[in-house]
Amino acid sequence: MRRLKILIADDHQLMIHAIRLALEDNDDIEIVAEADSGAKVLPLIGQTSPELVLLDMRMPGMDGLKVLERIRERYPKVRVAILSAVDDPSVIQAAFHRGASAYIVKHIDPRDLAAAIRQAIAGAIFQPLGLIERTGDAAAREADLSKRELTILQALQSGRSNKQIAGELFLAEQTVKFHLTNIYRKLGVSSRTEAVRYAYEHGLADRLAYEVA
Amino acid sequence: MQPALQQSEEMAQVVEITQADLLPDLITNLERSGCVAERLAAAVCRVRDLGGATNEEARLELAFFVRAWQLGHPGVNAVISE
Repeated sequence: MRRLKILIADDHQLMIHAIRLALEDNDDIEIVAEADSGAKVLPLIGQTSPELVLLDMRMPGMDGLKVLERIRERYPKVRVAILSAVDDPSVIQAAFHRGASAYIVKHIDPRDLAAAIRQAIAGAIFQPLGLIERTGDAAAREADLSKRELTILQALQSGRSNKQIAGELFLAEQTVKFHLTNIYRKLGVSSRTEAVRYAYEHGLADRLAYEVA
Repeated sequence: MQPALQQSEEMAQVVEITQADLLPDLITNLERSGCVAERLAAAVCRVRDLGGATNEEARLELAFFVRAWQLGHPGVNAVISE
């Protein structure tokens, strides 16, 4: 089995330990290095060749945005996922402008962290809820759809099967069916086709990003 | 009051779990992470030196840690308070 190599950068040992606990049962993910300051990140990338850096935003010496810039310059193939307590939209926007592949706030359920890492490495873009107000956000709120339900609804639009959606989102197929039942109920529809039509008619169809918050 | 002490006191959080026999394991894990954890009651501990820039960040990181710790101890519930 191919293992995804990641580097963790956080100045708080508590977070590094927590991330290890969160990922320890995921055999496909290997933590190849830890950095407790921004300055240590680049040398460690050179030594350990991770596919992804899980990067805290607030670190002494060199903050996360600066580290992100340096990584993009020197190691453009290495993906960077920000894992931060900061949920200021301007900071989040700045991270994406500098090339972050994902922005994960520390509210995330640790059980979802591995899936977020896999999808960031696979090239899916994450952004926190509320980063950019769009028509779809208001429509989703009005329909009382959760972030997960919105993501599944988006996947429906491309004609994916439940099995495909489950695979892409690292969910059990039964879980996808459960979410679909809730989506149908909330939208007042009774089929996939009707759900997709509802999404288009209510501006839920143009969302481009998966969300983790 | 010295700033460091003030910060330490402000960052203190209290964790209560539903299985008292697991509290020593939680305290051990917290101390391995650089925190100071002291038992207050059978299933309650106070945690200091969390390291967050703000109280909110400290609480957020502690909550993430406790939830991650719970993954290895299914069935244990936890409450964090100040």
